[in-house]
Amino acid sequence: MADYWISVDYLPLRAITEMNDVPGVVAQGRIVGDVTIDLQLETGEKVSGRVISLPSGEHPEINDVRIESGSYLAPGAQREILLEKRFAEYHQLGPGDWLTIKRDSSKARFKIAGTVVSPEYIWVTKSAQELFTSARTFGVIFMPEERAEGLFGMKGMVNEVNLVLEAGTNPAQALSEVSRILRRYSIIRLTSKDEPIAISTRKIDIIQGVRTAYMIERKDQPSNSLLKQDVDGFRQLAVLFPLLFLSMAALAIYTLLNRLVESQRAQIGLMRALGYGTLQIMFHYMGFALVVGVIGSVLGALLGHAIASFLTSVYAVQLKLPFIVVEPHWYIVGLGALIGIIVPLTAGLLPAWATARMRPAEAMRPPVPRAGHHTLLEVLLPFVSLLPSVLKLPLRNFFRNLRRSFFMAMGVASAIALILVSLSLVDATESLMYTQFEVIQNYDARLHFQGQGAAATASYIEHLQGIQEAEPVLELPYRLQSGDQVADSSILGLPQDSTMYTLLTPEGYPTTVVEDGILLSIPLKNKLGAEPGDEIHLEPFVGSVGETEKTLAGFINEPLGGRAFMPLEEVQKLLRAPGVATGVLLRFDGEPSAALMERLYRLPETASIEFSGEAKRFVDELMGFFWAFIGVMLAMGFALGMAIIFNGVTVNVLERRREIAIMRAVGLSQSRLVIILTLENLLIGCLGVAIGIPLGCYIANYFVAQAEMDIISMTAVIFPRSYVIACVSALVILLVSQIPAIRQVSRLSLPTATKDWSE
Amino acid sequence: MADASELVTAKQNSRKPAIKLEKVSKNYQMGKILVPALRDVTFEVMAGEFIVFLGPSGSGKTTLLNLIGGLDSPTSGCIIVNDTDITKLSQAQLTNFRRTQIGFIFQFFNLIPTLTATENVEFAAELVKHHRSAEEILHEVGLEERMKHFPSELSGGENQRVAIARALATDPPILLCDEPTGTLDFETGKRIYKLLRVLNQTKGKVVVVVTHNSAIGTIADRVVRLRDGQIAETIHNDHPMDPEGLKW
Ligand SMILES: Nc1ncnc2c1ncn2[C@@H]1O[C@H](COP(=O)(O)OP(=O)(O)OP(=O)(O)O)[C@@H](O)[C@H]1O
Ligand SMILES: [Mg+2]
Repeated sequence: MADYWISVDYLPLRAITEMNDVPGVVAQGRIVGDVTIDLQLETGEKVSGRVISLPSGEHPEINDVRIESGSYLAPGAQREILLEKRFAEYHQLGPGDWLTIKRDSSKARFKIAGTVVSPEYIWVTKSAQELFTSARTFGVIFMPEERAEGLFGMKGMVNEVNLVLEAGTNPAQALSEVSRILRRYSIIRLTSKDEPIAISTRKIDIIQGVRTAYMIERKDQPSNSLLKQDVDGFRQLAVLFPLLFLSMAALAIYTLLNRLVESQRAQIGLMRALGYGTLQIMFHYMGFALVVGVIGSVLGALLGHAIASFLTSVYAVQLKLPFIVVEPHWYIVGLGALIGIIVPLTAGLLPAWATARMRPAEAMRPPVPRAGHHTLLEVLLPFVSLLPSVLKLPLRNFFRNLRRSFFMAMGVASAIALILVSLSLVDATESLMYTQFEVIQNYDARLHFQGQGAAATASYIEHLQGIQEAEPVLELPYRLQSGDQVADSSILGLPQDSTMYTLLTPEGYPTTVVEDGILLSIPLKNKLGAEPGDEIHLEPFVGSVGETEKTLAGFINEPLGGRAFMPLEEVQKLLRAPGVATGVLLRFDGEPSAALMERLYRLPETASIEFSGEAKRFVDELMGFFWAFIGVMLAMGFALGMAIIFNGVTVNVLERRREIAIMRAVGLSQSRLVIILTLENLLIGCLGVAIGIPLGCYIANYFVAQAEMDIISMTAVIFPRSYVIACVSALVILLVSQIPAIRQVSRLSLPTATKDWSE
Repeated sequence: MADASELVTAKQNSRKPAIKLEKVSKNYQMGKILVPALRDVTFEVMAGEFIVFLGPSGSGKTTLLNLIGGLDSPTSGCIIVNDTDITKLSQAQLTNFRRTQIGFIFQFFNLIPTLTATENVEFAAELVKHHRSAEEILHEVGLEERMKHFPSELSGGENQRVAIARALATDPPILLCDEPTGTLDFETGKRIYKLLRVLNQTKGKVVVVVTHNSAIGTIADRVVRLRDGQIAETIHNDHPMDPEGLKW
């Protein structure tokens, strides 16, 4: 893949040869242009296409394609093309099929020689402004150079230069050589994303009619930067989630081992009494903790690798990547193992050490309830004693062992938090989709013009049979600048009283475009760091008119996109072209008829029609990996939460085997015992809920804030149902978890259990 | 005299057996070895009787008490307590039996560590409808100063007295005491036996004490000697000694 893409209006092939003479530079010229693909279906469906020229007979040196089916363009072939795989698959086109391509008034039929994937279109997208392009409405076509020259009227010329710098080449030096060559061909200025030209210079350029070239680096190439953002977004989550899991697991392991060693207090005291040294006791427990840690870590690493491979393959399927490599990240595995060993070690050693340091006599006695006589319970005592004993006992146990209760409650809380955080991702995504496709986009379809057309077409369309409403829109790629912050995006011009595109304030209230100002979506706000009242400098990507300054009037919550909004007339004024539009938003009367679709496609301006439902499905598909990720997180959240609660409950019941046996011996019935234990666990569960919900909300907010991407702005949302699911499932898990433990204590042999202290 | 008339009723009651064991055996399975703890034990305890089982360590004393108290079931034979064959009871019925008929004083106190003295007694008391107040019973055993203490904050003797108070809380007709003074000093031990004797005489409670201390035998109505899980000898005390005169 190229290191740099330079777009120009036109450049003779000679210039490319000259660039190739620059040491360390490999240059390749090609023609890239947009066309309409006529699918020749009954409805005359038309979609947009991008033509890219390729040398016929031999693969290009830079930006090569990979043949998926059929063969490469034959030498000297004139009527052959290669088609990008996803578009081909969507429309069920393959080698041997014919495709009609239209540009302006000329039309030509081509035979498909093969389908391909291209590194430039791993994420198939029209441009940095139109990221969500569905495979139905946009296809990439690779065409022999000679045909492309003819189609675009560029004999002996190219309009895009791809550069690869050889290793060790100084980019700055090489690029200055390249721009020197460009200057020789009267392209005065080479601008790039990172170095916006001064506004005054730009004005002079325009007045003087200066030709400029625009360069993007590999990292900004749309498909590449999207993938990177996508991966980065996940990397954030992929780091945060394991971190969350690890800390919760650490807490659970710690509590478990801590309690285990604590319960062996009497033995430790006895060992000390018999003359074991503190160190010997420590070694004894260290060995135990190490075994637990090592076994756990090895199993964990294996399981983790399996899940990682699964997720990667989902991502690959998602993007139809031809091949994948799953490599374990050893440092992550190492970190996991380290935590898996260190945590049990400390959890085992700390209480062993504390107990070993105790006087043996003290250790051998049962511990005095830690909370002693000064608990909340003691204050409430007069009231508590009035309660029936089934309520009294759980309350006492809860308050007398506040530390234990708290630890257990933390277990429940972390389970709830885990489940809640995983669910909140589902909610946030769902609400994002809902906001975008149900609230904001009130239209059924968007008709894209080929270039610019007349806004009045909208009123013509509105009168067609089967159309309820139609609104013209004007969307243009623009560069926005505030201070020294720059963002490349687009401006969407909407009618003042638009009913098809609902603008929402960040608080979620509907609003409208502002007559003499500009509204920015949240991602743009973040990129530009501008505040309402600031002047935003606007500079069009295309053409030389339309540059201006606008006052920032406010912000818009648009989950997908990241655009700026202005009134339609204002954008038209900017372009000094009253009455133009780039498309029409449509609302149908019920299902659109085939006749209606045919009429729409037959309009001379129509380039393509994009259905909202389709776009939504497409975004859903793009989110496939995200869903898989969430699914795995949700499953792991549930599993870990279950494990934590199960451990806690089991230990809580089993630890008190003897106490329970005594109660039974004195005459406590089985059913009452179950009620008492259940109530106590529920009490702990409630404390867990009280801690877990705010904890989960906090973490969820933090996570969503981290998952921010350029084009997707997520808002942390947790639906009420998620709270209910999290709490109910935690409590159900809690109640179910106690069953095995209670079963075991009910099978206790009373004579054995009541015999003495050491079990 | 009041004392005399009470003794008469006690003697009349003694016609009726409160506890009856018939050919009771208990074997413990230890892997492949069978450990016989009790072998064909047959005896009766009359209503209102104060009986002491004497035997060396391992002779089956605790096993015997556990069987009578419904904590364990015999390998063979039947145990009839107040006209009920408890070997035929379900677990739930056994629980109810323990709650209403039996007061257990364990060899090791077996108090609930997270409950104070009062609460330990209360816990047992509240298992039955008509129960005595925990404070009152703790007064009786001389623990009025220690009511709010946790077991780990009490001495062994104090703990044992809490355990006795707990056994009395449900006002059961039968008190089963496993080595009740084993961990106590002589004076405290004497006080406890006095208490048990008073309960036996004034309330007509059947008191079964098991111990290895033969001195205790002197205060009982009857002494049964156990050896290797069998009854070796039975001695009737026509004139049991006042616990005040105990010496060991
Ligand atoms: N759970 C058990 N499993 C196996 N053998 C047991 C079990 N409980 C008791 N025994 C055996 O049964 C016999 C009687 O035990 P028991 O506890 O009744 O003795 P004891 O008379 O109470 O002794 P001590 O005075 O020492 O308390 C002993 O030989 C003991 O080893
Ligand atoms: Mg014993």
